[in-house]
Amino acid sequence: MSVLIVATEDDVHTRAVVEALETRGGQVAVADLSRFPQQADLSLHFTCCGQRDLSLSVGEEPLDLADIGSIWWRRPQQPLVDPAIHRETHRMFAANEMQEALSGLWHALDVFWINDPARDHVAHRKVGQLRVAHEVSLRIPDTLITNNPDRARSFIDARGYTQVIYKAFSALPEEWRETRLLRPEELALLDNVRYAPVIFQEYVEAVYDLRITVVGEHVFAAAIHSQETSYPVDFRMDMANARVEAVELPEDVCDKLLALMARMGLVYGAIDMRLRPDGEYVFLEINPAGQFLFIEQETGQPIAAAIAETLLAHDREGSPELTTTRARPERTADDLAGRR
Amino acid sequence: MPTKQKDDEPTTPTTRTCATDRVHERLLRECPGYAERRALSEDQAWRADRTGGAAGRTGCTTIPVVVHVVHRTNAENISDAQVASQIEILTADFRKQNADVSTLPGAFAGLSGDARVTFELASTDPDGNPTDGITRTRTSVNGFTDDDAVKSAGSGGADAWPADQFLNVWVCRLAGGLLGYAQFPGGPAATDGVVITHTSCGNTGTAAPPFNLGRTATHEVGHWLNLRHIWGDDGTGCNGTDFVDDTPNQGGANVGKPAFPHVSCDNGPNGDLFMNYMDYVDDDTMVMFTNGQVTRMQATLDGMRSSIGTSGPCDGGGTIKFVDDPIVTLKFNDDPGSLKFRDDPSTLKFRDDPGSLKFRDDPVTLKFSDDPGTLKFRDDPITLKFRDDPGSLKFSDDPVKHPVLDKPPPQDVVKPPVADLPIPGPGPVVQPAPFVLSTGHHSRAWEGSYEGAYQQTIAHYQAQLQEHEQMLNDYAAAEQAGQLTEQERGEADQLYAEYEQLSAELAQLQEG
Ligand SMILES: [Ca+2]
Ligand SMILES: [Ca+2]
Ligand SMILES: [Zn+2]
Repeated sequence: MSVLIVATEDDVHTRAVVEALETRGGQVAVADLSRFPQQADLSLHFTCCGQRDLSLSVGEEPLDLADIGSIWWRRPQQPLVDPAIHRETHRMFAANEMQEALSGLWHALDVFWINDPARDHVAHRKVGQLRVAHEVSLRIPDTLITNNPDRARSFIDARGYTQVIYKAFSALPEEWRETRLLRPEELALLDNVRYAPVIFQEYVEAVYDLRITVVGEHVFAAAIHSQETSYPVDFRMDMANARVEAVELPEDVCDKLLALMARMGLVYGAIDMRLRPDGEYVFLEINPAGQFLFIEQETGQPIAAAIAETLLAHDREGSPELTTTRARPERTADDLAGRR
Repeated sequence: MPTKQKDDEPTTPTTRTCATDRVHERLLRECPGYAERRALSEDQAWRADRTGGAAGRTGCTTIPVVVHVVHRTNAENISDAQVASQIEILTADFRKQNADVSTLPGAFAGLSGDARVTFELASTDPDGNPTDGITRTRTSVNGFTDDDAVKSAGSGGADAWPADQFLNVWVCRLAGGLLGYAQFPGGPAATDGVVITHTSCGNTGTAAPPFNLGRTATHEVGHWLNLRHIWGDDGTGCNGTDFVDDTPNQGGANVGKPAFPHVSCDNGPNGDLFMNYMDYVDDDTMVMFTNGQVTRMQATLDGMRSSIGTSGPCDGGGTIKFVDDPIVTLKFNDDPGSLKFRDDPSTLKFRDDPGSLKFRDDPVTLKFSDDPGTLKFRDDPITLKFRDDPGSLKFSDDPVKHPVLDKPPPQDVVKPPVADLPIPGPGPVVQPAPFVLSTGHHSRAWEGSYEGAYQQTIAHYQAQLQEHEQMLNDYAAAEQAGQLTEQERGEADQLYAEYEQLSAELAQLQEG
């Protein structure tokens, strides 16, 4: 059996997990989807009578997908349309055909996923995260997402602008914007909310930020001492100067986070929270494909190893192609949560 | 000129005078909220222009009209036939079905557009009762002015019907050689509509030359749909604008019957677009709206006047006839080889040139059982270009199938502003940007953590600023040489605003 990692080849997180898998005697292949279709082959052969031959060649060796027991869906790239195709419609068509074949393939595989692509897609939506977080009784910040300037104004007026942060759903490499506290000169620009919705949020006072990396049943909590850096509002801004240390989470917070993971169908998640001076833990967001090495290197928490072990454990349970007579265990995150 | 005129004789001015701007200035001074709503209206027009005129209303809009005939003499009590002739003229002019559009000089022929608005006399009054769409009021006023007295029963006129459902047209005797006036969108409902003098109404009865072809109403309804005078209302200056890109910058108003070309404001060789309905020429000399004016009017129908009228297919039966020129050219982004119409199973196949489709037998009639203004093709945006009409139709995508993008079809994205939403602010004048991006960088906290990224960002800003400086210098040189068009001046202003914003952000970034 083998583990497949769908990622770019030079991703350092991928390298760390590959190493951890190989140390443990696992077979691993990395598929870089951006090599499709020019430098990689995909053939999915279904015969009339139940035979299947699903193969993917990512290196010299074609990979028999029947042999894959688990997959790490690690920030996959989009297939690359050959620049030889010029017409926009033809390019779109080619991209779509690749997309269809690939996503069809993922759905056709009965394997263990970290994380299932469809769940990953849904879990990325920040709005949905708030709802689920609330439903599992996590405290969330008072949040308004709006493109209505008047709604934004009354949200801000109700708290005072010094107590409101704003942030964006997406970050453009060219126009990166960190999470910010509102400033008086920005109040004059509020009409521009009209053009695209903005996330306004109650500012959560912090003792420190928390990055909690969950892998299956393992919960690795780390405190990021953002309040000691030059930008206490957003720890990403001055990460090099932020002290990071492993911490223990209260059991009830831990349980709620695992419930959140289960509800979202995720095996892996990197969760951002804040600990308030009054001792309350406030959930900010979850990154279904969040980075973890910056935590692992500072705290020594064995996150890559946990990912590798989780992948291997499920890989060795065997593939249904070979063990059709054996009842296949339910290997979903709900199940993981249920076994706790 | 007659030395003395008796009251009951038709007043026939020799040059056009329209008091819309005086009314506009009065409302700005006296009417609370008017200025804000005007700003909103401009904002909407500007946005519509920027999105290529992608309108929420497709096809044609039919506007119910009530004509209030306010008369002191029997002559002023114009006939139903005279009123009917005016409605027909309005529809012809706003549908580009006026025969005299053919008199446009070749240089301007490409500019004229179909405003896709038709008019009909109201058949139901505000109480829901049947009506012929005409009210008749006897008055003792011997000549109205632009003071809106004609719009109220209390001052000798007739009250308006609800302006969100009807276009109110008052026909009366206007004093002082005034032909008409209109109220721009955003004014009080009680005075919303247009007023014309009875001798300029329609093309029969009391209608008197040179304003006897019904174009006074066409001009005023143009204002009512937010059009400005074509010369920019700056006297004879060259700095005014009508906020329409495809109308040449023009000195002052043209009157009478100018000869083509009439050059002003460096707008040679073709000169002023004096044949436009929004100039001051005689009725027989004004023959067209431009595509840019159409966009502006449609934006108004999507915005401030979204509650009025009903939209549906143009041409009733949904038939496009290619009479003048049997050759149409279909341009496809890709190469479908054959073209299927949704409601018609027949398939058109292309003989030899897949890029263009020629109809051999003329005249050709394409029949669509649904709205011919919006053909739906299975494939992504196609532009159908008609030779005799440079306006191109935009097609929306089939909303059912678009697996790649999986986002709502364009018609869902470009929604007309809805009347029941709170009125948004006018927005920034220069370069609107999403809120998050319009808030400059204010922290270099990451400099300590990501020194390389900081240096890179500074370098990126400096390069951008340098590029902007270069372009601004080019514009300045062009201006010096007198070669800067109105549009380029606007672009230069925008660029300068961006330049200032970038400089400020860079300064913030360097200060920390
Ligand atoms: Ca113009
Ligand atoms: Ca002018
Ligand atoms: Zn006028």
